[in-house]
Amino acid sequence: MGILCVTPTAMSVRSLLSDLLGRAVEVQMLTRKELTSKAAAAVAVYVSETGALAGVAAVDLAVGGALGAGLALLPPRLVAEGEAAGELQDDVMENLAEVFNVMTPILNAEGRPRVTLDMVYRSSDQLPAPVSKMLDGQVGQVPLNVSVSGYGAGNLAIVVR
Amino acid sequence: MKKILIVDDSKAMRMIVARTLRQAGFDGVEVVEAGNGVEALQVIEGARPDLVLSDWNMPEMNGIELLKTLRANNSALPLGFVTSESTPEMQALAAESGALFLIVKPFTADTFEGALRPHLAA
Repeated sequence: MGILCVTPTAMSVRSLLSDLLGRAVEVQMLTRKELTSKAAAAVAVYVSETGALAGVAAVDLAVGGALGAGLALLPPRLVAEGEAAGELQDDVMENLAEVFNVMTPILNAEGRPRVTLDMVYRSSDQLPAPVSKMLDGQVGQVPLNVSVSGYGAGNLAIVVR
Repeated sequence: MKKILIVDDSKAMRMIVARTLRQAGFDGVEVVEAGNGVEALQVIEGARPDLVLSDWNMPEMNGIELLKTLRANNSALPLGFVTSESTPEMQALAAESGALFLIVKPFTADTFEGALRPHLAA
């Protein structure tokens, strides 16, 4: 349990994503962190009611594309095209932002301070230093591999404070 | 034919809500859409929907502001929230402002069926 956020489990992430996408999603906890701020295709920042940085979620191109395309049943080829281009397409990114928004409840629990989605950054954006530091640190890390049926797999890192 | 207005700033989420309506057996309803509360008020005036399904957090005008504006204008148009957040405070505010229900994302067709059926009968 983080100070500001609930620490999500592979099961809570799998349950939320499979319900949201309406398709099979497998989530495995990794033994070590594989996603860095430099390799992230998109980063979501969650804050407390006082505006304090409470949590970060980051995806690589593969799973960012899979979640963003899968949400709106966009063609799976968009995932490979995004990886080849080195960035997520605008419509995929817009959908991914909604996925990050819907993920908010897994960072919250009754009786604890409320955490909300504050901002979603894409790979071309300059991440605020505290966000990069949190993502690249060792504390509160929840490194996950996420596989979306029909769209492929990749890394999702959640970090809670 | 019943008409439902879906209000959400995410185009993908509007599509998912419309798809879930069909999965829940409401495939006979006509769906109209808006991207925020301001757009919703314009659509309501023109399209005259029977029910509104609205997100809570949206730019320009959020869902609770939309509901309060409707009630301030003496509109009894039924409105339910479909939102990613649901704190006890939000639930209380929604209820006291006259919302029919508050569905939390992600949702299922069964959730929609149970929440909407009493308000879309005949």
